[in-house]
Amino acid sequence: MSTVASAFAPGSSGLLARLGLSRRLGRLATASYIALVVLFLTVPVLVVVVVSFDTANYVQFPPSGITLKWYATILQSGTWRLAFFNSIIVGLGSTVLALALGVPAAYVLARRDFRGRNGLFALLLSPLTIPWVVFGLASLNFWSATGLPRNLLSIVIAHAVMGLPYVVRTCVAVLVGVSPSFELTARTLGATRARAFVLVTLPMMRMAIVASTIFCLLISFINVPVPLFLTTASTLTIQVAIFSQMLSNTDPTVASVATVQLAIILLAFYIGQRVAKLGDFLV
Amino acid sequence: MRSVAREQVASDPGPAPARAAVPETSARVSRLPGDPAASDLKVVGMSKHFKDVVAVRDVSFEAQAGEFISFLGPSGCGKTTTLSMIAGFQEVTAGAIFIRGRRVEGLPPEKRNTGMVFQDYALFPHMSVAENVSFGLRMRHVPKADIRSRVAKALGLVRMSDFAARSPTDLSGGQKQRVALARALVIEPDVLLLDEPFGALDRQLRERMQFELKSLQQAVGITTVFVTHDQEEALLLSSRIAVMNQGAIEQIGSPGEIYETPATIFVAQFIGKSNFLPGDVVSATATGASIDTPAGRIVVQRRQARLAERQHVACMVRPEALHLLRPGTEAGGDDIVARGVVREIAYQGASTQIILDLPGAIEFVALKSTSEVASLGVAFEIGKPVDVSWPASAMLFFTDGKSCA
Repeated sequence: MSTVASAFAPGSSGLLARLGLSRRLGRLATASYIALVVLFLTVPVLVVVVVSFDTANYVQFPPSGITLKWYATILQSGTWRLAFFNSIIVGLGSTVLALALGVPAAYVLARRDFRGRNGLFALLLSPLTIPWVVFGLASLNFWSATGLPRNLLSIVIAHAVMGLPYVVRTCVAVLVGVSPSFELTARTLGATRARAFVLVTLPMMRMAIVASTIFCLLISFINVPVPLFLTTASTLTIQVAIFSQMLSNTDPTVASVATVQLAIILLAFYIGQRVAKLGDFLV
Repeated sequence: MRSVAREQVASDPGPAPARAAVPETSARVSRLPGDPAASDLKVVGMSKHFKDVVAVRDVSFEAQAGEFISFLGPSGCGKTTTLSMIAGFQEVTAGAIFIRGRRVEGLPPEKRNTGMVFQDYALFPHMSVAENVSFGLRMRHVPKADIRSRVAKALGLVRMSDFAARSPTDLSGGQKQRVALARALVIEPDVLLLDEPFGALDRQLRERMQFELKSLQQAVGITTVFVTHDQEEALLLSSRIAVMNQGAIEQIGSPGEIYETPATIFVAQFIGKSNFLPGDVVSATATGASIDTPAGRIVVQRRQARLAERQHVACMVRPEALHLLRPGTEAGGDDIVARGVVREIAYQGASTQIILDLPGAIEFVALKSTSEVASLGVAFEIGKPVDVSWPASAMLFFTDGKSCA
């Protein structure tokens, strides 16, 4: 109140106070705006979390009581357990594969100049430009045409292809900032090309690799359309299980599955932020 | 085990059979063991072509033990490519490189036993100072206890012992350079290679580090190849300078030779400042020649320049050889006199540069100590005429860009 009063007081002090007031109002406006954005982003997620603890047999809001029975349902269900297990295998497998292909590719793209370099770069980034549904259908056609079994490996490969652009882009971005003089110095000091890469270059790419890992895990974990085309009863992943559950059944089990998944993703981000300042790669 | 053998070779110039332990992987590599009497570094007819561009053209030189050879030239002259080929970062298109008599041009960098310092120092950021310095020894499988003592000794040599546990990111530019030097020297390389190591330092620190490097290099007695585009740096540090232009060595010689008897106009212009007068040889005899220039006729002794009649020559004189004449005084003896108009006076503290326009749109620069300019008692003013003189013996003559001496 005193600020408002002095704002109307005559003289320069009043003017200064008025400036202070408008600055404070500006700050308030910014804070409200940020709060609204945060609400807009988190409320839908929070609703899912709340619903997962609801006693009602169908999805409703506000909730009518608190229970953990839907979580118990997941634990008892062989289908959910299988889906979680498969998702973890697919997530880890596709991440390892994407890194194994993407890190060397990024190194070559960042360090060598050769004919077709830009073409290769574009090719490795191209999965970003294809709608996931189209990619899923194309993968299905590919596996059918080759006659190879559609097992977990097919999903691992599909997810690795989708994760690859993130690995390549993040690693190239970091590598172009690392002068070749580090590796060359290591070479003159007696390290072979391979040892120089492992002992000097790779540690300097640590942040990029952690960030890539988290991107890959995330893409694998939130992807519905691609595994939807590729899964069979035995290779059900968590996303496909949620999807089919929602088509047939509306009890809050899916909400609790989603909450578990959310917890895993948040944990991954927390670790990523602690280890590699993941935020630097998201902006 | 091989690495240990190499280590012993490096630390002890011992008998030839020890050098036979050096691994020879390429068929192109000479089968002969290294010759202890051979020079530390010898380059023969080395060239590098990138598709149709010739980056380095037929470079040959030999460095004696403990020599400090600078490769000096403008950017793109091939000096860095030359260093890269010696280090093994780039393949030679043609030619041979011998390090202590061992033919190395087919070997990868890790088998050449060179020490390298880059302009950015390339200290590994994920290792402490001591780990950086020990890296080369670890690659060579030197026993742990030896590593500790050698790292301590190397850090002592560059006065960085107190910083062993620090991260390189905490160090200043000068400290980083010292660590980079310690890391390169601790492996006891046959040749030390420096790629513009002072480029990232400010002027004052650079001068201090130059003296430090020079005394360190002399104390260790290591043969050093240094790449720079800074002529002052090259003159200050080098026992010999190789001036490069368009991929080839224009001249190689001591700083004095390079400055006082440049072999080409390029060298004369690149090292220090130089004034040129165009001239025509009007007569040439067994004892000398007469040249007509815009500044009058110049008579040259035969021993100073070998000239033939009707040749076009570029006549050069260094700015510090010019005398400024007080108005109304005569030049001494056979000195050449020219009248110019003052275009610019550049005060540089201890010295002053006076830039003159001579007839025929020729720019002449006179470099005098500021006190000498003051003692002339003449206020030089822009646009006023002034006479300059210089002895004919201070001149150098070039035809087709090459010295006539």
